[in-house]
Amino acid sequence: MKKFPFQKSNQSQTPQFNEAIQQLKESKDFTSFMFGLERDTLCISYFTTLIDTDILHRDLLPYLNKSSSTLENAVQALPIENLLFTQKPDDMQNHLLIGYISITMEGKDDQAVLIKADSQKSRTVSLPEVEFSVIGPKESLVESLDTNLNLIRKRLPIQELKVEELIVGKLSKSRVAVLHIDGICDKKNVSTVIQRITNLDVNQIIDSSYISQMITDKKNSPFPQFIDTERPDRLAAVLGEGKLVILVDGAPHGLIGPATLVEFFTASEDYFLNWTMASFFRLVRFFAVLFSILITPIYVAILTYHYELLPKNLINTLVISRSGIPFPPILEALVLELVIELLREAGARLPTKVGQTIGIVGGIVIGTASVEAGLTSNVLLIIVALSALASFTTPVYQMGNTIRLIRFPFLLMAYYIGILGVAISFCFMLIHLLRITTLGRPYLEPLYPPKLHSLKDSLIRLPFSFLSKRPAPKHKD
Amino acid sequence: MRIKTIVLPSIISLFLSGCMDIEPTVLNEINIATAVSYDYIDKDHFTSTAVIPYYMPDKKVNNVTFTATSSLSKDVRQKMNQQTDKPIYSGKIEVILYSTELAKHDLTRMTDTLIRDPSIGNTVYLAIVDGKAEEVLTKQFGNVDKGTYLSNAIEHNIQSGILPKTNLHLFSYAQNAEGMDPFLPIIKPKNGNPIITGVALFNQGEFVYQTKEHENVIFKMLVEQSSNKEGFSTKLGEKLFASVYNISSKVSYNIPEPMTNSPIIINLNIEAVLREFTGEKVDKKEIRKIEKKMENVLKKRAEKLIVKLQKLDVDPLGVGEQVRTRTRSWDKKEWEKLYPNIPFQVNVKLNILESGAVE
Repeated sequence: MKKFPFQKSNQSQTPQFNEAIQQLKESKDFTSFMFGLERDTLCISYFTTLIDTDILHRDLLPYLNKSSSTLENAVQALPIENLLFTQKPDDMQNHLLIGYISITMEGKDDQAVLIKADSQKSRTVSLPEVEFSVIGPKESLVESLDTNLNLIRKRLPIQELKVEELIVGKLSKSRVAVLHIDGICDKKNVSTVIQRITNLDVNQIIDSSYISQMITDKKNSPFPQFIDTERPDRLAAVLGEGKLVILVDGAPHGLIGPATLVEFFTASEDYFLNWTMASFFRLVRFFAVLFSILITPIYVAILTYHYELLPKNLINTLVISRSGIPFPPILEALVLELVIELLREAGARLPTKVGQTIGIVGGIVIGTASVEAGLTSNVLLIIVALSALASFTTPVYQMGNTIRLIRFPFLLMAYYIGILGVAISFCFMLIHLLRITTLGRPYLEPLYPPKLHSLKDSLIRLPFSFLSKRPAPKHKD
Repeated sequence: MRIKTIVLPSIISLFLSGCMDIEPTVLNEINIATAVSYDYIDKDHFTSTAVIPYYMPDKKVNNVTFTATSSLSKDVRQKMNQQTDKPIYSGKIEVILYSTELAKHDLTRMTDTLIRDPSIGNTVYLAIVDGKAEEVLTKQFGNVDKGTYLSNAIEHNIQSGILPKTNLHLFSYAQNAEGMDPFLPIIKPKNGNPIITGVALFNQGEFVYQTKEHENVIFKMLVEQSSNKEGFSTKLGEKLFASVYNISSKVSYNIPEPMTNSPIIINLNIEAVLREFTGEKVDKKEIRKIEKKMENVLKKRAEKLIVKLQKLDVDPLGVGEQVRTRTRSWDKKEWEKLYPNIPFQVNVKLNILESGAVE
């Protein structure tokens, strides 16, 4: 552990700073030693686990003026641009804890010099995995906030891009950055977000999802109200649309707000493809969502109450597939939906390679076996599998979870009162969606309140020549 | 507050759904009738037969029939339920058959229950069976259920055959309209095989006449505002026949003086394709000749048919409705007096567009 032949300082330092250093010494990874030419006058302290020792050896120790009598003189020749002088021992402690080296001079208790020497240990920028797209940029955010800011700034080299930094969490002291483009983004949104983040009273912020859950308008809604993305290109693009972006140090995901429902179904690939294809894929996604939510409840409703709705040629297939099954359709559907959820949950918890095996076991063995055993009808198996598949088409992961969850109340209502129940559930969902606001903005915009000029990039995406205007007009303030 | 808004309605709907009168009809726990027939017994009673397909796991369909006698349709169902393992439901009935004997008495009484019952669709096909209606349903053939078979048979004959468009809705519309009489397809069982033979004409609810084979095509052309896909052939001369295939035909009425004895002119425009010709060569001149000849034949047939309808005092073409739309002071009674004596003139214009792929 001890690398340096220097004598560790045990002598009495200047009272205040010395006391602060003594407190930190209770940790084994804290080092503090005296340094000097004739007599040890400079006291150098740091956490060995936090700093980059290269900086200490290469840039600090050789350039220290060992014979000077004042602290200013001692550090004058350092090739480091940002020297921090502080008079407060508290301040010194805090900085030591985030990777600074402190230098104090014996006998002079009035100030300490803090030198930034934190080791930048983080992943390299790699491929986006959750939001992979075949064409387009292949960068994704990493855990380091500075790297993430760098990735975004590279795409927006303008002075209007403002970054505000806040420290949140009593224990984690996480750095939270709020980005916006001055002049495009609504000032009110920025101040709301900053206000809400500063008001947070929490111990730890582990990930950006903590922030997104804590500062949403409707905390009990299953619908996500901030888009969560790992693509810096998407962040840069929405900044240009007047949204604001929240980045958290230690989280490889950025948050976009205020987000509308429609935006959860847009993928960045939509902009890399020709508008005809992009629009088609978007419509497919919206269809998939409706399909995923409604198809199993409609199946249950029709089979339980509304046999009249079946086309005459379909009855044969359905009756045969249902014959001999001892459970009512609702039980059958609930069990199958739960099986799919089990498979998904098991697959998500297991390493990738074992996860594939689970897929095969679940899909083929359980599915076929349960049909052959006469426990489920094969038609329902197809329907449930298709609706699960459709729920995976949403580009934003959280929305996929929401869709899988809200299917269950629909199912129960379909069982109680048939299609009427499905309709009532749908009304409930619609009312809920209409009531949600994100940062005070309606969630269903631009569908409701209808905004014609924003519709150009909502359910479909028109060519870029139509999109020269920004979707939401600037707020007058 | 939020919990109240979500949980409370759910609990209420959970308990109140018990008060709603909706019973589950799980698909494989009910018997779905696909066709029903009614036969005449005496003035008050009829026999009803329902076909229920039993779907076998090997994709075979067994048609099982249940028969009961009563004076009310819904009574019949109760009696049939006493014979089955699962309750019978009528929501998927495709075809309803009546015997000619029953149709000769009033059908209005029989169709009333169909219109009243919300589970029976308005697009159900009604048909008259020449003979015993039960006979059509009792014999099994092919691997389809009887109701689907019959409704497919009627459907394709409507789309490209001799039948004008017909269903329960159109029937009851014509029945209730002031200047119109209904008609239904007529089916004749031959060894249990149903054969569509023509159209049964009604005076309000009473079956009065069955169209002959040569009247079917012209009847369809006159009844439907625009129809297509029926073929007809004519004898042009000694050993000379021509057959054309109708692409489209349009009817328009020209009534110069409605509600009087003055003639009503019916214009029939037909566009057709020459399909078969026994002559030597077809050129422009020949086609003109065929057109003229056929126009004459059709005109004669149409006028003859209309005279016959007037004699029977039925109006399936809806001439009365045409007159009604053109008069301010419509009087049903007066029209009924006028109708049998109005002279009709049918102008047929046949246009043969092409003569086939032969040079």
